Amino acid sequence: MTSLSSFASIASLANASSLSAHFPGPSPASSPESGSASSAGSAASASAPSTVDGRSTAFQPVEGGTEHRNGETLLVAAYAGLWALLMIWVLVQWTKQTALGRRLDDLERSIRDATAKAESSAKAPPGNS
Amino acid sequence: MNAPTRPPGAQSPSSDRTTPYFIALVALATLLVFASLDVIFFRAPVEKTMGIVQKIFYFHVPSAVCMYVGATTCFVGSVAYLMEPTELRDAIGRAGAELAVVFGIIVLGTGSLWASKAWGTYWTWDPRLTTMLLSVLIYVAYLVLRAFAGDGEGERKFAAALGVLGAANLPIIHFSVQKWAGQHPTVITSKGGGLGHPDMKLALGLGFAAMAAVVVAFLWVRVRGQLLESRFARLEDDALDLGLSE
Repeated sequence: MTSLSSFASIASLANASSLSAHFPGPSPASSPESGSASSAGSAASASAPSTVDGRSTAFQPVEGGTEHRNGETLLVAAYAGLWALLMIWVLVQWTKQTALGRRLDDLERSIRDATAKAESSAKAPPGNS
Repeated sequence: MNAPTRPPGAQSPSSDRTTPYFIALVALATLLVFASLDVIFFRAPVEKTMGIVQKIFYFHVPSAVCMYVGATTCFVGSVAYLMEPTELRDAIGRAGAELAVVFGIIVLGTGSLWASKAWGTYWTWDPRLTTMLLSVLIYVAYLVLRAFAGDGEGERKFAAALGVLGAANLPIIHFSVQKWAGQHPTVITSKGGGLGHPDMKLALGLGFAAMAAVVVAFLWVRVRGQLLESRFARLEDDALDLGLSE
């Protein structure tokens, strides 16, 4: 039982060292500002959940984190969006022109009918009107 | 009192038969624009001297070619109109002038941004820049004339003559760098050009293809719009003749 608990403590130390290798930064024990760091750490640990279940479900905000969005991608997305809007606008113009053309077809037909009616009434003998 | 007749060259723009072709053209133009954006910003390398500003080149040069296309279209429509006036020929000339102005302004704007980095100033009275500005002003004059001087036969013919005059300036723009030794760079030459990387050539080629599809789509929709305007004006005259309108 004793050997099992010592094995668990060694394993937890190994995990801690591997984490520090992945996320390098000043550790409270080795940093020269260990006093302030430890006080900040204690403040953080006061708010952070202490149980394993709590740690897996709570998200802690980090201030001053690095920005991971690529500015070039955003630039190209902006250009692509503008061009897409322009093309949609051209298509809208086309559909509006089609609708206007249909209305002009109707108008042309009405004027042609009115002209034909006026010409037939002008040609008809005076008694037949 | 005559029944309204469609003049020669005036086709019915309300026809739906051409709509699928137009949608296909716009879809193709959109795809080409997206592909060119991808190649320009993600594949083509950053130039050693000019840095990221060099990528303006891939928009600037195709826009200049589109300006030439618009001006040439205006020239062809104007000459054809002067030979035999039809509404279609007038519409082609006017749409070409509109595109020449739009793409001319794009060329001057992108060129000024380039000049700011390369020469330290947004504008200089370089022969190519000056002749390009002059050409754009001629087409602006064409459009102002058509917008404010009425839509009669005389105004149309005068504008067509201006369209022919504007095209006379195109070779002067093109050869101004060689003849007058201006500051404007000549990257694309008959000896092969100065694009050192294959992806730079691909970016420029895609830029040309995308802008060509865009300019054809714009030209098509503007000619159609001009034909509708002419048709509306004719119907208005017919309605006035019949006493249907005041």
